[in-house]
Amino acid sequence: MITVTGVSHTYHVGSQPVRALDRIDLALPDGTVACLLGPSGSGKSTLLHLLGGIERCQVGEIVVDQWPLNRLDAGALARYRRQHVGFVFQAFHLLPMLTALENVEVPLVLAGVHPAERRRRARALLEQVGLADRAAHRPAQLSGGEQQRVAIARALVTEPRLVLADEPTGNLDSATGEQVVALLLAEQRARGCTVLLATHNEALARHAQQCLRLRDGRLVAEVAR
Amino acid sequence: MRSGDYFGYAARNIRRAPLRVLLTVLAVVIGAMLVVVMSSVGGGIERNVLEGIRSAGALNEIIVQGVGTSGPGGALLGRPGGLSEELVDEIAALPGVRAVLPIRAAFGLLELHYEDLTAQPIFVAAPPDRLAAYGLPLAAGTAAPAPGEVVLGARVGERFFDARQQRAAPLALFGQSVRLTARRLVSPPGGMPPGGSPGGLPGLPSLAPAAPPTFERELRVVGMLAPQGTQDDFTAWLHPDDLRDAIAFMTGRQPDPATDGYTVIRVQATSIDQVRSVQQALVARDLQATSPLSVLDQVNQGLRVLQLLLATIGLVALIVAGLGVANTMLMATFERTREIGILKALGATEGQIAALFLLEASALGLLGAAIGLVLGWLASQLISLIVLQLLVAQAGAAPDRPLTVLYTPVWVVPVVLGAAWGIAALAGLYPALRAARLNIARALRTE
Repeated sequence: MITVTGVSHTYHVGSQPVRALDRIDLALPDGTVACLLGPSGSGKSTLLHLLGGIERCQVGEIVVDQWPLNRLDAGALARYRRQHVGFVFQAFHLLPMLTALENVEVPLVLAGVHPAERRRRARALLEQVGLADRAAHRPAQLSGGEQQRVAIARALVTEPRLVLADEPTGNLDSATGEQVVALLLAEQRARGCTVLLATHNEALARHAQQCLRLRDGRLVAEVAR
Repeated sequence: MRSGDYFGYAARNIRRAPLRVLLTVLAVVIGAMLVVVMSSVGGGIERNVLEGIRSAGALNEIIVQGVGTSGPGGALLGRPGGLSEELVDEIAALPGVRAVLPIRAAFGLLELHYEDLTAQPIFVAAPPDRLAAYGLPLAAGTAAPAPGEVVLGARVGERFFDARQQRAAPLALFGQSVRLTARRLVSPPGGMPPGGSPGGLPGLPSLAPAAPPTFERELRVVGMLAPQGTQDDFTAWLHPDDLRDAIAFMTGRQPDPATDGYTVIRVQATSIDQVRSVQQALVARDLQATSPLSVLDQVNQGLRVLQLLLATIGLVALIVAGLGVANTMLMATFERTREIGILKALGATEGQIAALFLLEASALGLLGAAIGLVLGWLASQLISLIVLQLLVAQAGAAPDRPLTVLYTPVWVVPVVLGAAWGIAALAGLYPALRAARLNIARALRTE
């Protein structure tokens, strides 16, 4: 269960304060596929970063499955990111010097999983995302769609309870984007994890059980399907 | 993270900018080499000095010299009121003394002959009972010669010359017969009588030109001492009667045991720990007592300062190399900002990120130090070889004892590795902390 209560967040651009989130309240039950809609700059990425423990919220409270994110120290927050959250980024954010297989392994490496075990799990996931034959390729040798599939495999390899996808189709053509989203949802169905998908692509909303619409940092609509 | 993964990531990152890493490591290599060479210079000096001290006698020995025995006349004749038999007994009774060896010595005017070869070892004599008790290490036979017998130091056989002053091949003299010869001392016209005046230093005796040796005694070699690396290796131990007869012939008068003292008394302490207290007791009796150990103490202090000074020069170079490591690692944090952000977003802790960078910096330092150690050692060997060749070429013969030009002390290995690691880790500390504390969201936005 994700609970967000009275969360506000302000950035500073130079000396100018920019309010990215303004008094957000929301609740997402376990296993939900939710879509976070809104134009660029509406605060989607900021909300995802707060939920993923990448940034700390300045005002309000966020609790994700008993993890009170405001009250965690740096080490606990890192553990939360490692154990509980899977991230899929618009820019893929794969490590360029590692192969696809090694990229998928990274979260398990950080968790100290035995090399044989993590290799087995990474291979299995690469197979599930249809990239078993591309395991030894580096990101630069993969297409955008393939890179995003590697990123999805990496996000799922620790079997997280929450998957946060920030514009996962933003750098892909529409057909590849559809495939990537379909893959993500298929994995969600198989694993039962919560998926929060931030996008400005209204068409993706049809996949979600719950739609959240942000505008200028405020939650303007919440639609349950 | 498992330790193997830390090393794997560090190694992978080091390989990413090979030229920059090569230059950084090269700076550390030069620093480490300098420390090794400088320490080797210090080590070489130390070794030579200590070897020189050690060759003066065993470290548990104290040498008591009679006043005025440094000149040949004094050494030959002893000094009235000098090192008497009573004094020997008194010293032997001191606490911490294991044995004493009162010695009469003679140099220069006595020769040893074997067939047509001649040697001029140091001729000494000591009471046989004391000599036996003193426990000089034997290679063969007995240590205490009877009249008509001689015991030779380990390397006396190497010091025989033929009539053309060419050094002969080393001789194995144990069990052989040798001849002891002496030449008479002649005082300068109007000078002192043979043996010098009782009140002051005798005038240097001069050799009678072309005076034929008239004293000759056949001696059987009944003992060979084991090599010790000291003057004992070049010493011939006679029975006191034989030495007395030779001196009597040379000086023209019989030595008087009542007035002529011993040249030196060698005092053996029960252990090295006792040397200082025994020496103090001897000095308190107004005796001129020296020990290799006391000289060693003084010299060691000076040498330590010298070595520290030399090693510091190298360390400065190593510190400069550390600045290179800091620069390389700082560059790495700038270049890898986004990667650091990714790793942190995937759950890397600040400690893990800092450790990765510290390990990388340490690896640069240790790699440079290891290469520098090997190259520094090789350079020291090469310099040693060249200088030794030059010395031998200048002297025309090999030195008596093995000469060390540069000696690399073993402590250099841990010191260089430790210093290089420490400096590199320190240099990597700021970049590591900077990387660890990077804001994830900002790092992910970096192109």
